[in-house]
Amino acid sequence: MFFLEKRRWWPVWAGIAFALVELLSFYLCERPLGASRGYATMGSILEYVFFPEHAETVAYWTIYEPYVEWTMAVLLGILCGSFFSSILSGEFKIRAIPRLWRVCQGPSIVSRWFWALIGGVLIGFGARLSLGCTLGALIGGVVQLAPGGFVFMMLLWMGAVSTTILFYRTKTFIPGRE
Amino acid sequence: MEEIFLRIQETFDPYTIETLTGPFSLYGGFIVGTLLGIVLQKGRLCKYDVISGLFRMQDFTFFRVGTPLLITAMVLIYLFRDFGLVSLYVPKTVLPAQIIGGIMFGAGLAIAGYCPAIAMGALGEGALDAIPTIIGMIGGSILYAEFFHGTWKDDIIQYIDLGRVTFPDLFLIFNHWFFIFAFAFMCTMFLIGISMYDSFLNYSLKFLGVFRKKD
Repeated sequence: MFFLEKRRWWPVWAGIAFALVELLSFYLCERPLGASRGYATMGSILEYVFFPEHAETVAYWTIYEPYVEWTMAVLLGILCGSFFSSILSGEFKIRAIPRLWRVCQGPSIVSRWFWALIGGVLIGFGARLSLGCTLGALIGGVVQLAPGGFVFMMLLWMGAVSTTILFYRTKTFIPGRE
Repeated sequence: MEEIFLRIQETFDPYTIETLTGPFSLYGGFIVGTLLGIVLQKGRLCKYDVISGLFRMQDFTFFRVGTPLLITAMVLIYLFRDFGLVSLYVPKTVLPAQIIGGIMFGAGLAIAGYCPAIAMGALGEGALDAIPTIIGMIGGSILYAEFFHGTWKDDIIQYIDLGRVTFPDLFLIFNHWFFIFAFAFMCTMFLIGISMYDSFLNYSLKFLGVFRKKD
């Protein structure tokens, strides 16, 4: 499988392959791809396992019932697929901080993990608020011509660029860009 | 302790592994997810440098992957729907919720550097800082469910709910191929422009020695 051992595909071929995966998801599983629903279901399962009496009183967990679900299988599949792909191309390398963060914000692991946690909370809350993440709301919405996907795409771009300008030192450049 | 194990067993429904197809099948989800993971890794998308470089306007790999993705997927899905092979599953449009949620999501994406699907891909690639991002995403979902869902603030921002609509429904145009061709044309022009700009940026800044490796 020579194309699995390459380090990268040309972006257009990668995009077309992604579109075929999306079509396979529509054809095989009768639903668009989605990821953030899996995290909500994980939260629901955690609450059900550790605080079952309290979890019954939360109205939101009647929508996201505490059962192992399709999106969690997708998340596990992404983990395995990315692992095998990076093993095959020899790119697998355990690292605690990304290279760009080390150049831009300093080498402290605690700071990077703390800000990753804060960013994760913002992502989880925003994904629940906007009824989907980049996979479910943006790609799934835009390919079906839903206005919500376009609105989400534009506002995500605005929020991310303004946060980058406010949060980071943007004078630094990416070290070793391919 | 035994009760906890019993409850963990209860969360697994054996109905989900009976078939390969259908919206509840775990096998189908695993197959689709594996292919998606390979595509995400080979497209160089599960990297903090690429995502943060997009918002610093230094690396446009995401746009170069995203525009062919949107064009191809849109054409193929509507073509297959016209032949009756697939059916649409349109997400809801709730304008204020998606505006506020989009800004929050974008802020988190800029700080953490991983979106929900890509965090898993980055973890598979060996980036350990995806673990606190995943924990944070689960925590954010729990926060929303516990403290925000159903309050008066949630009722206000969920008020303008257009339902499951598409652009052909909104503008009362019954042939969706008008929208698809207009979108495909704009996206192709955008793709050509952004690819030229990306190559220009890469080569000119490499010539100036800005992107040098510091490892």
